[in-house]
Amino acid sequence: MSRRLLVAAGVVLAIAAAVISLREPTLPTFEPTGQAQQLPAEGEFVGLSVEEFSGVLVGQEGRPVVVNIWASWCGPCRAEMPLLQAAAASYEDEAVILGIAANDDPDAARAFLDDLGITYPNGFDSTGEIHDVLDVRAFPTTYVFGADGTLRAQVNGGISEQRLAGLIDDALR
Amino acid sequence: MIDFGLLLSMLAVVGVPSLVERWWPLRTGIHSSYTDLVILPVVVGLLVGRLVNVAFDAPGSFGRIGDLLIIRSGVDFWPGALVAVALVAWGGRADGVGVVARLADLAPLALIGYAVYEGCCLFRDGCYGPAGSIGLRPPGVATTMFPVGLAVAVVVVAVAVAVRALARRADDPPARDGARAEDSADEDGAGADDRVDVGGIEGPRAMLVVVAAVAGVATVRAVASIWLPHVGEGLTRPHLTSIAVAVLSAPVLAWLAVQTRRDRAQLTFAASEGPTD
Repeated sequence: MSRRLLVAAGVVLAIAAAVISLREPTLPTFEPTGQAQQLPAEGEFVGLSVEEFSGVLVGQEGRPVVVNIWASWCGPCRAEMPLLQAAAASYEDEAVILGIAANDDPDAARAFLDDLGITYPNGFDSTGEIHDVLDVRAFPTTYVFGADGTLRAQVNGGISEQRLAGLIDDALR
Repeated sequence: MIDFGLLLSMLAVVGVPSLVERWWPLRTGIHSSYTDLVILPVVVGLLVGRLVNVAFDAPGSFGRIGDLLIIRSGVDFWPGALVAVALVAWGGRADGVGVVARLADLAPLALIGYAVYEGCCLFRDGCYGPAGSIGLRPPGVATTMFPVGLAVAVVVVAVAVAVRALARRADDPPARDGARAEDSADEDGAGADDRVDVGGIEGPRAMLVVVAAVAGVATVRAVASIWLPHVGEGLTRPHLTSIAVAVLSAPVLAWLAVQTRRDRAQLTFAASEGPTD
């Protein structure tokens, strides 16, 4: 009897996990608008309002932008940053990797970047509005904007190398 | 945040081979099921694979338990598999079962477990290969992509069936009777057929089954990696490792095949001669 209960519990858990895993996140309705702005320079870590963030995306139109929302207290963020760094080096001028620290202390976030040796552009969500307009529900969350500036994909939680490369390659096609 | 895809994969990896075990019973695990024998090695192998991955890709994460446990960020397959196999072998030795015999006995079910893991790629990242007209549309992607992970699962199931057939062939009456005829020449009392067979196949025949399973997985992974998207130019470390394992195991497999064929001919001859006083 207890064995049957275990099997039944396993089946229920598996079905629940399958449903949750296959559920595709609904993309937020955020569309970059406003005056084009430069990307934060290497080594620079500036606070960005949602308007400035939007302007940075507008400034990159013509190539895909991967926006990674992270925080220094988030383990999976730390784990995936070397992958993002490698992607930034690999795609160079073809695609942009932009990190945005949110829900964090700016000094802790800055130290986090220095600790990991991250050199791709990063900014700080100084007002918390970037977090809100992108409807961030998990840390990290990665968004892929196409070359035309439209939001194409959202990945909640850590992203794998295959998924990241697949999404960027798709946006480049 | 719980990785439900990984959770589902792990449940299936343990659950499905346990079901298949009803038709493919273990011979060296009389008091233990497949689950009993592999669950600890799989968990330890997963952790070791993760540690190796961190050592190469994010050495800064050492010392942070939370980072080390994020399996989704990457696991090096072959170091993890090597440790899991060593633990299974050690368990076999502790049970008084031949180490290689235990591995050969578990190989087909372990391959089914691996096939299920690859098949569950739909619930995790890392399933999709090149874009094309045939395939599925992953979340967030505009085009259809060929699900390489599912193809790998199908091929690994075929490898499992082939390895199972190889194990049965190595354990068929001429080979077994030949071996027992040789053994019974030195035995008094109990007949060979009365013995409790806990050992399954042994020696080079068992080694052939184990190496065939390893070579099969390595070849499938090496070929599949060609189509998996990755960051950067050139071959990835997992791809290179799979190629190395496939290349190293191929001559060993060929040598064992020749060796067992020769042994089989000799044992068939011994069986036809019967026991001698």
